Amino acid sequence: MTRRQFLHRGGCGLAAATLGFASLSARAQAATKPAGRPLKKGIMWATIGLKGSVLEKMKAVKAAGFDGVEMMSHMNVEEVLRARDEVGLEIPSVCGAHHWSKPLTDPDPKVRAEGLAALEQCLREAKRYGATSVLLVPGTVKKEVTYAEAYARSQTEIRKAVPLAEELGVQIALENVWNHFLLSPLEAARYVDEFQSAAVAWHFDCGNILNYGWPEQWIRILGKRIAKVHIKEFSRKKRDSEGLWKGFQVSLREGDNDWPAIMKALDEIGYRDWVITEQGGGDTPEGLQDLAQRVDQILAS
Amino acid sequence: MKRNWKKGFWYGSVPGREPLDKFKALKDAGFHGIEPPMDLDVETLLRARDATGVLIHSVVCASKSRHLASASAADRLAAVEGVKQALREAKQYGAHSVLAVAGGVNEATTYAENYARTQEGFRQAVPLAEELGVKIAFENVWNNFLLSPLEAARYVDEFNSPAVGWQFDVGNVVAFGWPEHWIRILGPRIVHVHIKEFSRKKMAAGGPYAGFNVEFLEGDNDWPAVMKALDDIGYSGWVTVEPAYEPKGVSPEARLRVISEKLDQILAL
Repeated sequence: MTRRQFLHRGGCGLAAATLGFASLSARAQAATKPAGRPLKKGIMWATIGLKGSVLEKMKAVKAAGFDGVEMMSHMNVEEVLRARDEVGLEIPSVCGAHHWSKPLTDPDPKVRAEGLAALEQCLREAKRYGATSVLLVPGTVKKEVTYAEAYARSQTEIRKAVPLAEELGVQIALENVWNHFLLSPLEAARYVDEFQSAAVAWHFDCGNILNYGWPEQWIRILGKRIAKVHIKEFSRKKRDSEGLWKGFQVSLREGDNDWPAIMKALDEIGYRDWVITEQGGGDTPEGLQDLAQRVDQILAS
Repeated sequence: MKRNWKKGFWYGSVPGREPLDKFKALKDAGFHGIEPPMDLDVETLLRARDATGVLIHSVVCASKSRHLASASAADRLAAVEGVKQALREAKQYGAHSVLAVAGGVNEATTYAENYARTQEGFRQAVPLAEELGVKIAFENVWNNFLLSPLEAARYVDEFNSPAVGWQFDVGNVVAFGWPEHWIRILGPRIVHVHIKEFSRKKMAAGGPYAGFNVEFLEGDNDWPAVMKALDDIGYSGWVTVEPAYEPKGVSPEARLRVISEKLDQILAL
């Protein structure tokens, strides 16, 4: 597919977008990486709203100024590798594609086994991509699954994948999401430590915490357990006035994350890995560039 | 199944100018007990209790215990003294427990600091609680702390004292968990239960606090499951109402009677 077709598919006005694409790239390069923090900038694959092939999406991500992409698992690995190499992006992390639909905490052991198989495949794909960690949602507490059951089942299943993770040298990084589980940072740290393996770590999402906590506190408590960081915004004001989930409908740096405090906490724990956006707005080249620039501003704060 | 549990009500929401008026209003509406805050005039409340037969089963010391996590050592000391004072008042009233809030996590106080400071503070009050035979019961409130029922159980157990337990608020959990799970996990640590309703739908549409704006039995509490869990852990103590929903155009006295009836319905589920 040509860039012309890609732009058309992306729904952009053709002329404007063609012009925009080139100038975008130049501006993005000028704006990359503030001095002082050697953190690379990535974007979560599922948040790239542009239509198009893997290659086309990766080109757009590169042009916007990102250094890498957090892929989804269970994609066509060969296609992803070819696109990655052609475009020159890195893949620092792979997000499990099935941890919500086949949770490791499911009451049905068959579903748990499928979830474990998906995690193992995710680890193997991560190795092929050169990713250092996989993003895992360890399960979910719901009416049919108590907190205690979720804790025990998820640890049991993850333990089965730890030898493979150790062998591959890829970390299993658990993300704090809205799964009603591991709601305390002290408990989250304990949960990780109970594996007694460096192959189990944390994938820290800033925006998911704000509903009931403070990201900078979590960062200091989790410390070296943090393998990756998601950059996401949240507005307590929108949550309170418009509804719980509306809290996410806010641009980076316009919500309630105290980004300077977050960056200071990351500095203090010696964080040197990737910051990856999981944020709406990446459905046009301009939107992607805006995201990248906002991440740059956060990194410089 | 009708459970002959005792029905209580939060003092602050009872209509009436004088304490005696409040006790009478509760008596008239079919309640058995009242849960006052600490620092009221003990003699006056005791007279109202004896005049009406409405018991004082629990005393709230949240206004003091919240400061157990203060960064100031002097404030923490005052908070400990406050908890002790509440225990003494509870003993005078014949209450079985004091409702305590374990500090609060916020921008200034981290989860780890709050955990350590509140445990240190409560520990200083535990010998008195044991001596008086009054329990310190931590309530799950929206203080961003002890958000996991496993952690809550651990927090209680770390005191190694039968004088420390849990005051379980049903409605406060629904925003992020399931009351029937919490009840089974906390089990015999639960010494007192607060009955409150919550709507996840209203939370989704209008923010977390909007979730409380719903009538009993019309929110997202699965009351049969909650009551079954309480039966399963052998609970048969007080259920106390802390009304969060106040419909317009209903007199406080009439509302009290409606809540009493709703509570009867819940207890019969």
